[in-house]
Amino acid sequence: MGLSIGLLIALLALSGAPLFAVFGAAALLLFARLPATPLSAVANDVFSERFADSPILVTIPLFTLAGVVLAETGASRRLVAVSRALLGWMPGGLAIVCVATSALFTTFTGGSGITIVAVGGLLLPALLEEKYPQRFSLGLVTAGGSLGLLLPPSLPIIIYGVVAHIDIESLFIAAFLPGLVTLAVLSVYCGLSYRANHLRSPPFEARAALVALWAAKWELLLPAALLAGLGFGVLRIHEAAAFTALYVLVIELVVYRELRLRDVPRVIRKCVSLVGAILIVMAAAIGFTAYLIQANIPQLVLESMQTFISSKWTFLLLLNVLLIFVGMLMDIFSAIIVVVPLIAPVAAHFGINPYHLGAVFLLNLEIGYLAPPVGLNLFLCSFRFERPMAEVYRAVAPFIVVLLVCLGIVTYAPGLSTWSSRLVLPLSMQSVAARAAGTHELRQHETSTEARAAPSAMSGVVAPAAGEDLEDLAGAAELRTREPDLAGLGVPSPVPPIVKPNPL
Amino acid sequence: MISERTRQTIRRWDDGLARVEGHAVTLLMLALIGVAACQALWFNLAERGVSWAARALQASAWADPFLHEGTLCVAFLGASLATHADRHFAIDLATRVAPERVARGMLRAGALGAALVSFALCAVFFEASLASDASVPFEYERLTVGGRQHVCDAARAADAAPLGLCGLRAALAWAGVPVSTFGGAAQLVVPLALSIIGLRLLARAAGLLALARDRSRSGDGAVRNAQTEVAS
Repeated sequence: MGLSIGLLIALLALSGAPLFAVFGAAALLLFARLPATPLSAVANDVFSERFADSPILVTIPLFTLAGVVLAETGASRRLVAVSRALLGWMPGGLAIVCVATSALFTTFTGGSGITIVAVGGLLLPALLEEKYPQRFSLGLVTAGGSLGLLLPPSLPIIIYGVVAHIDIESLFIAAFLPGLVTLAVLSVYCGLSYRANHLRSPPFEARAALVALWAAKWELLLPAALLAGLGFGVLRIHEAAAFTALYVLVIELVVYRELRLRDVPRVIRKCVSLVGAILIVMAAAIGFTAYLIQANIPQLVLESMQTFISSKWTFLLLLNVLLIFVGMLMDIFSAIIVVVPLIAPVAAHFGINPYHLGAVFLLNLEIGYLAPPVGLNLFLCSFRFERPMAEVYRAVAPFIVVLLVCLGIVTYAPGLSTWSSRLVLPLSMQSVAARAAGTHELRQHETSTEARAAPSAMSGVVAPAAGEDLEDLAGAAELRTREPDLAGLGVPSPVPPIVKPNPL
Repeated sequence: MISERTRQTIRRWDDGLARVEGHAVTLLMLALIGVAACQALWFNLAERGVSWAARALQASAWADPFLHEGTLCVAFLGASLATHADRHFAIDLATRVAPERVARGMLRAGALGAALVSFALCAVFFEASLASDASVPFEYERLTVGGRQHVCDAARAADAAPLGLCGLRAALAWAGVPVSTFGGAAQLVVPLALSIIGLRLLARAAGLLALARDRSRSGDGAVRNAQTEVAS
């Protein structure tokens, strides 16, 4: 019976059926095997705080809209101009421009591959014009397509936070330094390549830099305003998302006038169909993970892994191999939804901080986008620049090696994720808590007050702040037990004691 | 065999439905942005002692539930639009490497399977949405001589009955769908969208609607994967 269900699901998946149908079929068939559980168990959690009532869910369409609007307008051109004016004079300057612009653009547009088209399309001819080797240039724009996934407010970070049920703001902070390290290492590689090829950069022109900065000032203000708003507690995360969407719409409609009012419905439709494609997979996956929890699968995975893995570092190594493979086969959103519920409890067992795990996870998927033979960015690059796949494989190989070095650093130096957040988190948390105190008087709406008081406690789960030792969580156990549903978004929480069979 | 005329009629219906969905999600998205932005503005003004902002904030207890239910509607109407454009996420490894004819057959079979799953999910979600709305929340009840009653049923509260909710409730009750809250009504968008998704997938499996890969060849569509679609 189990084998035939597995075969059916595999056939459905291989036939190119939408992923939500694959998860939905798996959930329906598996729950049908449980005699005492009604089939509506597949859907119950979708209407709970695990999905529909999660305060984070609304950020997904709003941040996506901002990204789609930026991609529709001349933002990429302006960002390239700024980076080129500010960094172009350095050794390997134009290549570093490509790294910086791609990262900034991907941060706002998510890992959608749009960067290759928008930024890569602008920079590949420029790189070739400045005599960068063709293979290097092609590899760089392809690798650039997934850079920036670790920088806030990248959509994959938000999705990861929702699925792993950890505080999004802390995850933003935790992933920030690993993201910067990745960009720095790639920039060093670009500088070395520049020297090896005896290239020349144009001199720095202050006037050109000022002109470019002035032209892109509104877009450059956005990340700063967003981080300040979140950091000082002026905006909750969903308000920050609304602010971002509104800000981007206003500047592109009114200031730059590169978007006409009549284009707005089209852009929103484009955004919403992407959001819908992501969220329906999440909804179906919640039904599937409800079964996993009911059947105690994460516990079984943990027990079987314990038999042949004893060290945290071995686990991380195997995790990296697995995730690169997953990233190669699946898009980033599906990979997060499918894999996080299974590995989070195991990682917690090995004492891995959930925020460190998030950074490692996302960096792996960033590399998976480039991994031959079927990484998505390889196809996009081949399609966009009309180059044979074999040439693209050769072009990205050195960049994969560089990114693997970054992965090694991020994986085996957990302080990079947890140390940075220890520094910044108190300010953010204090301001949020201060707001919460005011909210209680202003709003007699208990649910929203709770969400404001502790973003990490949304959906009834107390998640550790980045940098918080797992041992410290023992004190939070009492809080957790007050909540009837501790597994969060249909996902086993990273801390083993929280993993309980779902009382469906 | 299905005639070309039938095919065109179905495509016209599908496009018309997508237009309606598109208008609905546009309005909803703008409303989500507006409500969340107002919340932030009012809160920060109220915190600085602006009394009208504090009053506005107190009167906007509906905002958080609206954001939740609105996002649910955006998500599922968006999923329906993604089906219209054949932009769903899929593991397309096998169909990418298979010969063209085989790949098309696989995609049609996959669409048929997905349609059946969508209909099954539609039934399951319908049942779950009714169940989750079965217990009437306190704020939707009035204490009457006859005991606790829904605000729309309580004669004493008739003057204060929210017309929108009571109208919607009556209309849905007429259709045989009992709901007691706006949230309960909004949740019905999930089975509704899943049924439309199922119909679209069924039409695609039957060859009545084009696969994205066919449309990309004819120039009016894009490539298969949702991500690739955005990029293109």
